[in-house]
Amino acid sequence: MLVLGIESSCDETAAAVVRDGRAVLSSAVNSQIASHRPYGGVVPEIASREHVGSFPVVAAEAIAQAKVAWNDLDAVAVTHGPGLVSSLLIGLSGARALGQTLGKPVWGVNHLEAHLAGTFLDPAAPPPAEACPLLVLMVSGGHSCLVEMLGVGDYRLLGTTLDDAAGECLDKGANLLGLGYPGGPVIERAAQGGDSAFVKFPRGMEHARNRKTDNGLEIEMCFSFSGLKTALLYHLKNHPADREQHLADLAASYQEAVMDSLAQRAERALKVTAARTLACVGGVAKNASLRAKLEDLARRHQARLLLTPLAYCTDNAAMVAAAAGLRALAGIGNPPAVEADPSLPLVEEDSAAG
Amino acid sequence: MNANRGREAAVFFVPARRAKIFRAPRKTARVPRMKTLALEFSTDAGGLALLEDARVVAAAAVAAGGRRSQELFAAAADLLAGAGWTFADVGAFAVGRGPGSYTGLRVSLTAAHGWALPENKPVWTTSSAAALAAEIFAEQPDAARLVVSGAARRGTIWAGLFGRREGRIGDWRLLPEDARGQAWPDAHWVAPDRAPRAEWVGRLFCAGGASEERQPIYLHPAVVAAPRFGADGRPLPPA
Repeated sequence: MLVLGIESSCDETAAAVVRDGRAVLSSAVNSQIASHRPYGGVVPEIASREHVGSFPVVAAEAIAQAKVAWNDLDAVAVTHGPGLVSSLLIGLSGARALGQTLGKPVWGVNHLEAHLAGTFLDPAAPPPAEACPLLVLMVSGGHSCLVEMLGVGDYRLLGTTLDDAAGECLDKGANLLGLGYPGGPVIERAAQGGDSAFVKFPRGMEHARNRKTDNGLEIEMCFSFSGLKTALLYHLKNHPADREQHLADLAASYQEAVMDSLAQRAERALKVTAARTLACVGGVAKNASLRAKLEDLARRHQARLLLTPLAYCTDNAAMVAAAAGLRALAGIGNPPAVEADPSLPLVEEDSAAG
Repeated sequence: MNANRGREAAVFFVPARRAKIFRAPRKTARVPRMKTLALEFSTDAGGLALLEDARVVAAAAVAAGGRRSQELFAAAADLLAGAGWTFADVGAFAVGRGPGSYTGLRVSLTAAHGWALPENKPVWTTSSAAALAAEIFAEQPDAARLVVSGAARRGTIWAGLFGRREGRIGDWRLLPEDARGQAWPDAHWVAPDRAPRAEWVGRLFCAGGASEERQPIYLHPAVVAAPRFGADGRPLPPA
């Protein structure tokens, strides 16, 4: 089964051709990072404008790279949420038009499910049925959550961020440290050789026990990053010289606080679920310090660790085509892509508590 | 732009109805006719039109503003089916690019790109205001100059001056809302409730001329607040 994936939920315009949910024949990504860098974050209006020009270029490139004909495609799969609505609409409209003229179905893919499917783009990863139950730490600029994958299309939300996403927290920290954008890679670079114990930044809700969120999630498996950002702000106010003299130490300490709280909640989840396989997806999954922590965690709990290939951590369309392909092959099917839903949940609200 | 203004103007003199007279009779026509799907979604009164050469075969109004932008797809399928056409028959796509509703313009332009991609069909664009000006010039044989305007949000309107022969004259202007009718006092201001129509986008395309950019017309910058930079050239946190 040959699926063309289209992704435009945030600041990347992407298209990819994937066979049978796993084999990537092409993956074209136009990243807009340079356009958003001066603003220290994604500007939705800039993103929408760029998607319009990028969509036809990227889609044609995906087909050319894959060396397939348009009519070889079995379906077009497009991210229909969650994301920025004005950005989602570009990919959705392009995909629907392609499907219409090709006479092929157009499937709507949940962006978060696509990130989960990215795990299986590693040719060495086992098939989903063998990897499940799978504990997935999903960490990006827009999302941070812990999900138990019981099978393709069958997910249980264990925890989520109570405020900022991990990547967003790194962006804000990098901004405060004057390091630029995007935060994850610039902080990682600045932290090299720094002392990660220089400042003990808070791990947000570290000591919360036996408390639930309004939608029934255990707070001990949730994240909170807003206090961390404030702690850095106050540290810089109280020790202005540190920005010059201890930049590497501050970057390392800040990164440590983010990655440590991610690993800590993943460990708690590993203890309470039957999952013996751990995966990490999303842009923050590129972080070497987080990867090292998860390797250590997996070793201590005799769990298997599946790390998404670096090329498929940040937003791409291979994972979108993969998610649709995996569902189709599992016999679950995909919903038709009709509307953009900026707050599309991975798991329906009433089953969030499991 | 300058190069195609003369050609754009030609349609003002030769309305599509009269062009029919010069066409070869159907039976003996050897050259396949150019079939065009025209899209105009710069206002809530959006629409689609099918043209065969310069003749409008079918048209449909599609209220596809804002949240209803996706209705364009069903409307296009219905319009084609009603005319007995399929997407395979369509040889080119002509799109109005505003100024107007960002969502409508982006969705219609991207839809045209998607329909055109597999067979590399042309996607041609014009300003939507030029399509409206062409329609008004055809209705009002005495008018020499027209001003087309529309809401531009943030307390402003946009306006463009059009000449029967020259096409658009000068740049788009952003004016305070209450200045409607005051700029260009010698020109006739087109009533603000007149919306550009897909039929006329299609006719402008059939009259020839180069495509404009395949992007909506943006009269406001994407970001109002300029980014701030420190002495070292690095961006500063928002104030």
